[in-house]
Amino acid sequence: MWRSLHSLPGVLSLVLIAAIALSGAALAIYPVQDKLAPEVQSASGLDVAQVTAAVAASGRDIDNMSRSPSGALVLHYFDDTGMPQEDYIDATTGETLSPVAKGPSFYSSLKTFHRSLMLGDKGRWASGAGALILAILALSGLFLMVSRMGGWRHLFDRPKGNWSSRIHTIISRIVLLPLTLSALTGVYIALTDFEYIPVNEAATQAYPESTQDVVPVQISQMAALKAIPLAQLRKVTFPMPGDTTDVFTVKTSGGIFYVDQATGTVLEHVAYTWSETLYEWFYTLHTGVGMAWMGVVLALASLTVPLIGATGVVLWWRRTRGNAQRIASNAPAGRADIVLLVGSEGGATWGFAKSLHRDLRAAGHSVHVAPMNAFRDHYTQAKSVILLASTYGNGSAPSTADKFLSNLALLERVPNWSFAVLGFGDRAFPHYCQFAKDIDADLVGRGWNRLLPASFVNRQSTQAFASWGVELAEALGESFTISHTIDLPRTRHLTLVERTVYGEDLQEPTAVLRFRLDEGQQASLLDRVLGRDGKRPRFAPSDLLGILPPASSVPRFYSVASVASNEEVEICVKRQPGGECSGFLHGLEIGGTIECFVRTNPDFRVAPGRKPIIMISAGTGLAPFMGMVRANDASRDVHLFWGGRTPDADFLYRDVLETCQADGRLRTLTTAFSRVKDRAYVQDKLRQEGERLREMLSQGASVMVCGGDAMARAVSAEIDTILEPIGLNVLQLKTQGAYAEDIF
Amino acid sequence: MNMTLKALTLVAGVGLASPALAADLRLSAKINSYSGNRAYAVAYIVDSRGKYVSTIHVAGPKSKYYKHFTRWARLMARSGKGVDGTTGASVGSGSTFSTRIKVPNSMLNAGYKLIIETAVENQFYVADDVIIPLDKAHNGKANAGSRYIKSATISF
Repeated sequence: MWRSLHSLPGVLSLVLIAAIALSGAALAIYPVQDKLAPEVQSASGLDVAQVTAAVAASGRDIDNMSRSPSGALVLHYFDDTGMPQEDYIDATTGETLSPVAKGPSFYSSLKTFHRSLMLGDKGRWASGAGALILAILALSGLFLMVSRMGGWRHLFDRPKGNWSSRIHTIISRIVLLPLTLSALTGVYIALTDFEYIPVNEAATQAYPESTQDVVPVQISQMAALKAIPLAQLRKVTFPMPGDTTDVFTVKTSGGIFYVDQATGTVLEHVAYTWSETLYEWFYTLHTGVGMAWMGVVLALASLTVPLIGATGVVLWWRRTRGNAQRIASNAPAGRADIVLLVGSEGGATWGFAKSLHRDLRAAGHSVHVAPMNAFRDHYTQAKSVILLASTYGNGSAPSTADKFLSNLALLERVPNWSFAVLGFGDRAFPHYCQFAKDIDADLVGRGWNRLLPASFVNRQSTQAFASWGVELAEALGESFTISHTIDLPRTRHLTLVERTVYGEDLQEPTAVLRFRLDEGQQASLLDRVLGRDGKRPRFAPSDLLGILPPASSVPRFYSVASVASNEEVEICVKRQPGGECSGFLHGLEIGGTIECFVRTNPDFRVAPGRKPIIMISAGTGLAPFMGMVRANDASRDVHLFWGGRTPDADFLYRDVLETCQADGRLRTLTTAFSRVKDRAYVQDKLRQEGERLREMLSQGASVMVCGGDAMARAVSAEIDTILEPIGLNVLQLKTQGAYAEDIF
Repeated sequence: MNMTLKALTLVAGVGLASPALAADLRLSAKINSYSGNRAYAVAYIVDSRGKYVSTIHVAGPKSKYYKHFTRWARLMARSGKGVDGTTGASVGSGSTFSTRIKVPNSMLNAGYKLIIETAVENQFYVADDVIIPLDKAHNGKANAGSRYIKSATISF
């Protein structure tokens, strides 16, 4: 429900709301600028009597004197020819400072644009509607965010996901309050403009009259005027010249005073109506007039609107792109022998479903694809049902699957097809593939026949998808392959300049390879424009290098082991038996080239601050930590745990690590070797150091784990055990951002 | 400001002079092309000494804006008279307004003048956009305005 209020309305009204917001931001500068204008004067120590007397002494034919919210005094009078004039005047002397500039200005055009898009009454409707839509977007966006972050308590946690989703979340939650305030006050002002909300002006019942036949008091001595500080004055209207019954009408922040022009006493006081006061409040809250700092806050908040809108459009586009309707030759539900059901939020899962659909059809099947919510008991010829599901937020169903479990309950019989679940997720999220796991368990519980145990694909890994395809084919007793290509970024060519191989005698040696960027590609113009040379180096620790082996469009990823650099990058590659990329890399000669791109790993970065870091890895999982350790300085404690096979053959970076220990970049190094006499794995070492680790973790240290799936799970279990006595667990640490994993 | 201005009420209709000594005064005015909000206009008569006599027409419905015509309001307040004459909608760029009213013959060819003031929000207030003497020489002739009025014609 919230999504339908938020997504499409936001996309459609982006231009309108951005125009209103930007013009509003520009207008908000003026109250601030006003404060700095030369006409603005301090009113401290002055009262209305002094100024009025000074002005009256000039002998001009005065209509009224008004005081702007910023403090400028304007005199409205008639010159010798009877034409109306307006001058800024000095508060102490009553002298003219300068005439008020009249006529259209950029400010007035801007104001007209903001209020009515310069389109007259219809434009006012549009502008008011825009304000209302913004308020709705803010409210619906808030509820969507709560759902995505996993609850009100987690509203300000670090958001995860791609960059547009992160910017959208971070910025909108900062400006939510001021923007909603601007939007709602804008709606109110529009309603008063159209007079749907009345603003009743305060007025006197019977117009008072001044006392006659008394000697008039000097203006400077009038008690009523002396009692009003200048700071409270809004406007004082002079009595008509020659009319002794007329009065001074003094409009102040505390109401309207009618003052006898002869005796100088208050004849009547009229308070503002509540509708007037309310209008004033909302006007001030909306424009920042008279509250310059408010104007600055509102301006800054409004400036973010186009950015929030643009990222919102990107998110919407991504979501709608993977649409079931776009899948060509979709077999009807009743005729297909394989049914694919898709649970997708951002649309990425649809892409995989499309590829699976194509490859299964190529293998001779007739395949029906549908969203999971469209599940019905009409797959009369289906032999297999494959469920591809991502997870949303804290383990809940993605939007095309939120009714699946309840629809499932309507199916009473045990169907005669087999099923398999493939979950899509990101290990950076605490509830990795939770929805997929839930479905799998639910279906097994219903007695459905399971073709394959549930499999999971991390971060859209096309590799994992392809290897699952092999298992699927096996389970079906067939031999097809599946593949999925994601749009790859632009690739570069790197040249191999150095190679060190560890464990040549072992079956799976590890090579540390150093590459150099080709001369001709040092820094493109684009890079320089984007400041890449200065700001963020091309290859940085925690980044992944995606390498395309020749004749393959499926990239393999390796962690960058070198320190941040624009020219060189180092990776650790273990040769997998039959591995296409690792085999290629191990066989590469010095001077050979590779085609690659960089993928950042923003969720696997060193936590900011000075608290200690515990880095745990095994095998080539050491790679990202090498860059981080080499770039560390002695002021930050880093404790590295690493598991390898044998110290003689396998100990990657032994010398470098010893150097780092000597100069303090590495505080402690604990190693475990699995193929020696006292075999140990890295989790065993963790257990031995349990007390030390517990102490550090209770004081806010963070953990980073890099390695294979089995190792990561064992480490996680071990840390849970270590934390148990102090009532913490890994899940909590993950939510706080104190436990990061990079798993391959 | 004076009580008379406070008690602004729109009186639709004429109430000035007896029919026998009265003449039909017709006024028609055309607005210039300009960009901006719709204009408010007020047409009124002053005597040979510049004192307010009566209002002929107010183009603009919301009375809360009338106080911005400071000269007209001040003249009216001094005279002690209220608003009279016809009212109509505000006038946009390029449009016209016209009215017809009975005035006593004593006002014609006696040095009386018709003044049209105009105002546009966020732009200008013009207290002397058009000034037309009510005499034979100006009967039926078009008079150019100084800002928002393109031309105004009276006939009697």
